[in-house]
Amino acid sequence: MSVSGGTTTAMHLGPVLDQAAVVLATTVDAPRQARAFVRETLARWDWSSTEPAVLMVSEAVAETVLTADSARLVLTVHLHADRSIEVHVHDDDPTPATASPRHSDYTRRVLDDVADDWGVVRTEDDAGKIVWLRLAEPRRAELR
Amino acid sequence: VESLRIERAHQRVWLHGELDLAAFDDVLHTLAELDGQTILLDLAGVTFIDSTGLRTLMAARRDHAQLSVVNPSGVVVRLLDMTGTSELVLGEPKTNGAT
Repeated sequence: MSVSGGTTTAMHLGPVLDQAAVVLATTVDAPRQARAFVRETLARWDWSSTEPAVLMVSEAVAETVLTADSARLVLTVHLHADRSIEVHVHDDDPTPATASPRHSDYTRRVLDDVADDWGVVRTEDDAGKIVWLRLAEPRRAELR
Repeated sequence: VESLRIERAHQRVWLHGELDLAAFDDVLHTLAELDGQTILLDLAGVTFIDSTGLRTLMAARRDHAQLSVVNPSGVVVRLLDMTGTSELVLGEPKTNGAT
């Protein structure tokens, strides 16, 4: 993925009702740990149909593990007042991922398909970056 | 916690569970032991896959000319559709005369 994926302006379309965060070492186990954390968090918020959210988070965390020069990442899930979620994957490498174009291309296709919107921004102190992903609650989106 | 279980009998390999970044080495290592043979990689038991799992499948196809990916579960089919890789992953193996 690169900074041109999705829009580059962060974040939060509305008030944040609740949030949960976990710090993960950037190992091959991080995507599984991230999925478990997201399933648990969304279950606590009584979110319907968690698998699209789980897929986009696994995808973004795997990409961070493979491309970021960072020993750890911080995964934060925010619940907005409209029950949409915004996920942040924060690492300590300010360089946007550009290597391994084929893999990044598949990641981009999955995120384009699953997330309502997503992008990458540098942190304000320039010491890292945040991949952010937005998703409405599936069942409510269908009822709209 | 193991998220993927690999089962093997003769030339068939079954993957059960979550096919993600952590599974890459294990799957390719198992397939390497069957090198040169006709292999059926059965994905009926895959409950989760992301593009790193897709990368494992593509590496398996690249490394093993006689490997077929069979019985993709619903989540696998959806990911292949999303990424436009159905033909690459599920297409017939090339017959190159090796037996």
